[in-house]
Amino acid sequence: MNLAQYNRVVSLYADAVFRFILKNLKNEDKAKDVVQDSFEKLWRNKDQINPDKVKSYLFTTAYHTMIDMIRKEKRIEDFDRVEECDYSHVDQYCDIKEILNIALDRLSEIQRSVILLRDYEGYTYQEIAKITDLSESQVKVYIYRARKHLKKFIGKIETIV
Amino acid sequence: MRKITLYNYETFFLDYLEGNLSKKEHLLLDEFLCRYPHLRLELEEMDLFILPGEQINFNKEKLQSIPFRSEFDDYCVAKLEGDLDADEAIAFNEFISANKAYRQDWNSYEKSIAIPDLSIGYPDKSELQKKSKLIPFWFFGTGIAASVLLFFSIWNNPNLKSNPEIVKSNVPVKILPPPVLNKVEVKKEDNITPFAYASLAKNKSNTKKIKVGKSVVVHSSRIPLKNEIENEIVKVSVPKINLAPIEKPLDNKKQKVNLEYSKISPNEMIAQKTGLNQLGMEWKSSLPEKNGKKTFLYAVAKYGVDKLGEIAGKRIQIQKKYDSETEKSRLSFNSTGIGFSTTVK
Repeated sequence: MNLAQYNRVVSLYADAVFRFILKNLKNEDKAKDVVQDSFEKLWRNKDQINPDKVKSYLFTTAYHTMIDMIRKEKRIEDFDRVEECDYSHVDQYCDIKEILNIALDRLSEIQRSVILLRDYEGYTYQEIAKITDLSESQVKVYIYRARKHLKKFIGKIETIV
Repeated sequence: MRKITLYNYETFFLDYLEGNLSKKEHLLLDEFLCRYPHLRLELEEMDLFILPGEQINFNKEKLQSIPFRSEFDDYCVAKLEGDLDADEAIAFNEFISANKAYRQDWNSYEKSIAIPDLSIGYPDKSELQKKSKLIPFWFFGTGIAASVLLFFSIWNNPNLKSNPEIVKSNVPVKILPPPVLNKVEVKKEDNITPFAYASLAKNKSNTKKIKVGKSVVVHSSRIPLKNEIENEIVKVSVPKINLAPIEKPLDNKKQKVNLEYSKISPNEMIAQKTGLNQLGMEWKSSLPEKNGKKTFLYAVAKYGVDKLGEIAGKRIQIQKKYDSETEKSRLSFNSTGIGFSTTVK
């Protein structure tokens, strides 16, 4: 990958990676740090990376950098555990997008990541498995559980509203 | 006709229960039971095991239908993820249309698809992008000028001229007697290099000293010793030095010639003439090999040489290499048809 190709990759994917990380971290500065780190790693390894797999490499690097950051801050939770929703304070939300954002926040890190990779970027189960270091069946299970939780949350809110 | 005995009465009993006995066999069975009344009870017990007929209707439609109700969530997720095949997807849509109770749940599932907010983007992509290194315009001209200067400095480098090396052969040879001495006056200011003194002063043979007034004339086949000149006690005359011709190796076998080079390096000789040396000081480069390449002047010169090569369409190289063993840097200039190198400080 030469300089021009690298800069093209920045133009194409920087926003998507930033959105994905920002949605997970909820902190713009930290999301920027993760994106910068990821692109620095890409630049350092530009000669070893297959240009066709740059996007996947970026998301994988960004995901792992994000996980490392979360672990460092000791904010990581049990990925398998999903918090039970507290519906008491959400009756003021009417916009479905806002409700979905709240619902996404209530998912575990891993569930949120797989859902965002699936919905935002349209990755296949196999690709998500590669990015997140999970098996394909684990990815399916996480997506299934996440969807059920999202539906449950959205359904409940809509009923209340 | 069959006869009923204690060994085959079970078959008669079974045929009786299933209504397969003829009238005569019925009579034979009655006679047998009269003879063996305890077997009548056995026949009655067998009769109890006949199961009454039962009307069972299997629900074939249930088997044919897809279990959308019992596994509704699974099918909803599968539908969202695009995992249903075409037939299942059509059947699922029909099921949703036909069942209002499930439609609301399905709507909630549909809303769980996260849509990216495209208004959110990385604030400043230019800080992620890399820029090619800009070479200032003056660097080009300066580079060429420096390379030209470097070229002439190498050409005129005294090191290139004063590179005497003495070769001693280990091959035994027959040496002719020294030639007839010719008197030659050698003055102090004659350019006899210290190296020549060092190498030839050892040969003290064939030397005659003759006093002429206050002076002493030395007839010798060797170059006079340094102190003989410095003390000005003599006007020294030395012969023209003709190296004795080598006739042939004594041994006809092939001799491996080991050439022994003088250990006195030319730089040591040059160093004796420098101002630092006259002050009793000396300078040695301490640049490591890597850093040696990165010196600014060298970098500029290299750039200039590269550009000259581009202009000329030839491959021209200039290399500076630091030898850690000798602690000297060596500058090499190579192009098609010409190449030379020299030690530099």
